[in-house]
Amino acid sequence: MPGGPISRTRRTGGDRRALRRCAWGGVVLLVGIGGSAEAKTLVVKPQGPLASVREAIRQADPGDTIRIEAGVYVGNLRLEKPLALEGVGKPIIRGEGSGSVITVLADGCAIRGLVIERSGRVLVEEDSGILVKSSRNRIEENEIRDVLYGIYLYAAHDNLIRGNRLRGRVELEFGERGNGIHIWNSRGNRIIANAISHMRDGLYLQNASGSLIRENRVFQVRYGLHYMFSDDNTIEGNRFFDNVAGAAIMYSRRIRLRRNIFFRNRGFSSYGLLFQDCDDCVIEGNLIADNAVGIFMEALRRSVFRRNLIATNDVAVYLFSSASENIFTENSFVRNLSLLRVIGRGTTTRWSWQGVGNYWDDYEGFDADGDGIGDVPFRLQDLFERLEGNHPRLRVYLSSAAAEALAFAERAFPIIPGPQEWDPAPLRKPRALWPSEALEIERVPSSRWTFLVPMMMVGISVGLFLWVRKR
Amino acid sequence: MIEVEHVVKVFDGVRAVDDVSFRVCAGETFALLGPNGSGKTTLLKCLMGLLKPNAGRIRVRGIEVGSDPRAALSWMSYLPQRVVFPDGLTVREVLTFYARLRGERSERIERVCHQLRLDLGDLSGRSIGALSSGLLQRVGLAVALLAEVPVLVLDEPTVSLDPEGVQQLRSILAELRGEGRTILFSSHVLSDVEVLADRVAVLVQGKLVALESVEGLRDQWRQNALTRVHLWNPSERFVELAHRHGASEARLLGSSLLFRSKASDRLAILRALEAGGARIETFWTPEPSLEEVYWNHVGKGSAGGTFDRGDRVSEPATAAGRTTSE
Amino acid sequence: MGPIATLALFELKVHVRNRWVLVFAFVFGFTAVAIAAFGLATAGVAGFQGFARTTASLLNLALYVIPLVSLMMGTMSFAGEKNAGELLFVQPIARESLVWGKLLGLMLSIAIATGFGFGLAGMIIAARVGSAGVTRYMLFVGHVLLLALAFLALGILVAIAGGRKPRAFGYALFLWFFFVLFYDLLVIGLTFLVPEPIANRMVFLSLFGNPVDLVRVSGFMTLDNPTIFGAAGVMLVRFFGGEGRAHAILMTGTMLWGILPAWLAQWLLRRQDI
Repeated sequence: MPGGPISRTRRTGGDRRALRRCAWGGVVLLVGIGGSAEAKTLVVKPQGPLASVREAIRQADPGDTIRIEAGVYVGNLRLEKPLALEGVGKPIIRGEGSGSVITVLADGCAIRGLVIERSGRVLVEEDSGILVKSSRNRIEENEIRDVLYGIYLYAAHDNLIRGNRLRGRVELEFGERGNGIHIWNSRGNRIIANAISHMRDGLYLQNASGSLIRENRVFQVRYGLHYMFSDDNTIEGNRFFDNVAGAAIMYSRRIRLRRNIFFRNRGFSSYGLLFQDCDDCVIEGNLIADNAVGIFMEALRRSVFRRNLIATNDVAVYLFSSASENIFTENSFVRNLSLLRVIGRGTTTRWSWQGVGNYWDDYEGFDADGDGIGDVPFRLQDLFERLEGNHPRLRVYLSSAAAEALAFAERAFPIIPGPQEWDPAPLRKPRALWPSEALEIERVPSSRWTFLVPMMMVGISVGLFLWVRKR
Repeated sequence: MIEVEHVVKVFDGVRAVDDVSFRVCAGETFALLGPNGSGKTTLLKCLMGLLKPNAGRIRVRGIEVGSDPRAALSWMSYLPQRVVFPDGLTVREVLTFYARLRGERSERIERVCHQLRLDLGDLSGRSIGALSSGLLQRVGLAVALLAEVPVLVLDEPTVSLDPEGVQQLRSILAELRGEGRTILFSSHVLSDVEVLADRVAVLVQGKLVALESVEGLRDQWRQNALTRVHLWNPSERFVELAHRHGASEARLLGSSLLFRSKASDRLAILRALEAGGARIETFWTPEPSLEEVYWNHVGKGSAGGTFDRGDRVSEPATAAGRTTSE
Repeated sequence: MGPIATLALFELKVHVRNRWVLVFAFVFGFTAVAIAAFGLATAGVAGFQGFARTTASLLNLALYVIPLVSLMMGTMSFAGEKNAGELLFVQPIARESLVWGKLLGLMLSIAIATGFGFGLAGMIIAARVGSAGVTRYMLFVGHVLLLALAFLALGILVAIAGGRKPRAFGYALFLWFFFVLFYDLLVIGLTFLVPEPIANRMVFLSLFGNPVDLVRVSGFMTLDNPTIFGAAGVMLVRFFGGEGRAHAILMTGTMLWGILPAWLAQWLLRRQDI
């Protein structure tokens, strides 16, 4: 909401909070200035005089707060006036199994601390946990489960979606599920610190410019971040792991990706980070590790990859020759099975910027002048890898002696022509490092018992050896 | 017990065993006699099913080796010419292995070792690879004796033994023979055959040239025994004289007179020579070498002086110098 | 105990006693540990990979060393045995039992040595990156043992078919080069001569002609999953009709490579002069 108006939302008296600063545009968003005499709080509890949330909504005036105490409340809700729904002790709002559980139509609503479940199952009706068709709402710390879409922002601007936990319908196929947070034709929304799993796509953005996506955790979905026609967005500190694909960013401009983790996104022709038809993006300080393909770029233009750690992917970078004028500098490439796959003829990718290249862990050159830059250029592909680009079947010979022999033969007799990718100024030391603790949470939990397995292997071998030796 | 019928084995066009037939009776000790390369080992390997004969049949207790080798082998034990064991194991371990393979109890090992005077306690710390060839041979024999089978087949059992070992082996075989086992062994040493065997088959260049009792063989040799007489007064006259008194062949070689005769006629011929004026300095009656026996069977027809051959081969053997009286 | 078990245990004991197993276990263990430790030492990335994935580099070690060692062992066990083993051949046991017993014994010897090496390496990896995926690791070790079986059987076959010892070792060495290197080069070359769709099918079928390829592909698929082969992985899985079936078919192929040469070897041995 660059240049947007200052918005006020009435909150409960007990929840007066100080000003909160909006992250962008230097514009101050005022939240929770309470104390207004007219604002009242209605309390809903199962055995109380007011036992129905729907009835409470009917009775409430704009700006009122409805406190919902623990219990199960069945029935879809519609917010047509600015209200705050505040759950105490995780009350369950159970939908009717058709349509959206909560539909927000008025600007400036707040939904907080609820457990929202059982939406409808019609994709084209946008059946959601929370369907938002208005602006400046706050949706915080809810648990949303057994829903088709999680939170659907439908032409809804300047909303704050924070700290929610969304979990889709595991029993459905990816194609039958809805998205976690679906943002369509909306601007200036902030999506912060949500946890999204078991949806079709974790975060789906279409025509959603000026969004801030920060510190979300997205796992076990199809695409962590699915993204198109959305410019000027910032994506920071998110973790996309164990998805079919990490992030697919398409047809967008001026995207900033910083300090995200794209980890262990595996599947056929899968990737940590995909760009298609994007311009002027900055990808900085991310960790892209253990994916089938680390970075996949088709028609990405004038973008900069800087200080990313790209490690242990099957293929680090998948580069179509339609990608042009991109720059890789100060990245670390560590223990990827293959560095680069080029599809088509050569590219205009630059693997260094102003004399600073990247760190390649299998670089064997030297640094005579001690400036930290290797004196011998680094070639990213050997013959076999270049052949693989246009003959994918050859991948079957991954790390075979034949592949090594072909690479060696080319080094010895460099007669086979073809486009080559070079880093003229490879770094001697990595500059982009992540502590392994960063991934501690995502690690598959291991038990002490499985540690015993290799120990048993040693034990059985030694034992058998000694037994046979003796008798 | 063992029937060998028209066995032929061809290696690269060479008939190593050429139409050999014989039978070995139960309880008999039978020798295959022949020089190196005469086909003895090949024949024994055919018998043990190691080699497949190109023609002919071998039966053991009526079981044909070619068609049911396992059944035939279960009646036999075999001691190969060269015994090799995997290095690093002890004698007891090797014996235990073979006992298990044949389904024998481990007490059998003690008995066999006792019989062969193998002290397992003495050998327990030593790898089998470090044993002398004689000792190895005895371990091999122990393996062969582990199974209590009626037929024992030994390929050149004395070849790697010192004289003491030979003596020991002979007594062991005599013992086994006493137990009623059928023993078939090969050798190129006549003395082995003489001492041990009841019957002998002589193989020369793959062919069976004689099949006789050892007594009969000896007799045959006596029919044509060689005598070498050193004379003070050599003369062609004495050749004539020897012929006249029953020598089948006679010839003067330097100052020596060589003649062949029946062993029983030898003395008469010597006397006749003396009577005819020959002054005998000394005379030899060389023990018949194996070769001599062959030549008795084969050599008669073959060209060349039999004396030369007999002489040449006999000299390194035990040419027993004896004085007049026999 | 049946004759095959007796023979197998004896064979195992021979190799344990002649220090062959000991030497191989230590060399293999040392190398595996070095690979595991070095692989993990890369600054800043320890822990990014699961247990199984970290061990992919051990696959290369296995693919070179195991065929060579197995071929030599297999060849040695029969090429040297023919003259020396008369005593064995005249025992009333079937000749095929000799082949199977020795194969089993050699297999156990290699299993002990590689189990030791892979176990040590596994302990290091488990200590450093956690042990998630350790069951895959076990499967991987199983694949490597199947590879050993295949090349032991080939070694025995070469020894029996090849006759004299130096000639048999020559054949064995040739087989190693052939399966580790030439075969793949040959197939890669041939695929460039035929149209693309046929070439793909040819590549997948050609895997069955080489146990090293079978174990390399199924090893990667076990440690990681078929995605490691990218588009080729998709084609491969489709070609075999599913991931599970691909695993099963490749593994069956490797097992056949262990059984068929051994069967052929005993068939030859039964008809052969010793």
